[in-house]
Amino acid sequence: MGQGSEALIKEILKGNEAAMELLVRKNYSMVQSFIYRFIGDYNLSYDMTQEVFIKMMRNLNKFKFEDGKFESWLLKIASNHCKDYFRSNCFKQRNESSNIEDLDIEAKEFVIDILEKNEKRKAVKKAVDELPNLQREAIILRYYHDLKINEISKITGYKESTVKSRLFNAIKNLKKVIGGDEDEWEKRFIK
Amino acid sequence: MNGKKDLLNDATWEVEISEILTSYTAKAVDEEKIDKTVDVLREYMPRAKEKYKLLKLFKNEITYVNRMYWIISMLVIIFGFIITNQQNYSVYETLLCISPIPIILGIYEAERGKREKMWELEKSFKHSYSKIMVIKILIILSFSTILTMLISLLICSGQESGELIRIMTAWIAPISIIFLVNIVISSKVSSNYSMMITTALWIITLVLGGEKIINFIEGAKLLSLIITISISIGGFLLTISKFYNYAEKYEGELSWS
Repeated sequence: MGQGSEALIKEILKGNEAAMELLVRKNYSMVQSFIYRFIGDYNLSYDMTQEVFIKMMRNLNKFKFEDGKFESWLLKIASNHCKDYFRSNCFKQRNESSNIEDLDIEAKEFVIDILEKNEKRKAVKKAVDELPNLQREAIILRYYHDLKINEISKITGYKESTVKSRLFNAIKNLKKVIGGDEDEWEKRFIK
Repeated sequence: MNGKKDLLNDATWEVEISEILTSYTAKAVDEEKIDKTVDVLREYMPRAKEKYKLLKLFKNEITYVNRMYWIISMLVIIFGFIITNQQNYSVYETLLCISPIPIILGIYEAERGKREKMWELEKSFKHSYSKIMVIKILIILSFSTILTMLISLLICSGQESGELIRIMTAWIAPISIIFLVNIVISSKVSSNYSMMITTALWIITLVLGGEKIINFIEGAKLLSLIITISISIGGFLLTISKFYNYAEKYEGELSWS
């Protein structure tokens, strides 16, 4: 783990608020973007990010420096928090009531964001959002957080072979949604 | 399986899929949201261990006690000691009369925060009213006990050990009763009145039953005196516990007002 985070955690455990602020600022974007891509809801991602940091603070004394990167530990909390969300009644109710129109309304909220207007981005977001939760998680960790298979395995708690399989299936599913030359794909990867 | 292996090990594909996925950007983080989270997390900062916090509180509260309280209490006890030695007063009589004074003054001093509407300020030190009050009471009790114990040892020097038990009965029992009475009264009326009422009650008790108490101390067997001392100490603990509950209630009333 980065020496910086280690030093900050030690300071936080001594009661240093400035260290807490630094650690949060350093990792906020990572957690928020992970949650946003995982659950696909921008506003909710902020609430959940805050909840993840609260969990982090409550469990900071349990973090073992020798077990590895702090960032992986934090992403593990975020991952579990998202899974709790998917199991919650809140998610089930939202899922039942949501439809394509809702998604359009949500998309309109981002109208000021020029990136949202980008058709390619929309297509990729849609493709990622439509992946099954566990495949989406693997893709996000692999391609948006540049984590290795063994790191994803530690965060998600699944075997490396399972992670590889999920990534493979996720890529296949992405291909279906994004489109492209299917023959070329099959020729290259799915022999 | 070979397909999976190829797929995940193919550097070209890694670049391609990364490029495709890169277009799914996340909006820049809202700084206000970070600030809000940081503010919320301040509540979750690890705190110093409870025992160290209490020791610190104990130390702080000692410094907040009015100096006049320490001086007057010491003068009263020393004056009593001198009077007893020079004027040949009964040591039991002297201790019965003067030992509750530091307690009565102490409870009055402990309630100064409430009296002078300093309670909200004291509460801002992140300790509950009940905890602060119990700490103050413990400071007062410790001070009174140490002071009176020292005087008792000075008086008893060179005498048989039984005499120390008798002398201790002469001050532990009164201060236990006075403490209980004062706490009960102060929960009903203001500290000014409770001090006056407790002092008046104590004087009446001494006038009406002082002789009987002294006769008991002088005539009782040591075992009876030890039982009396034990009951008195038990009374202290019970009163402190009741006082804590009272203070908790008072705190609750404040928070609703």
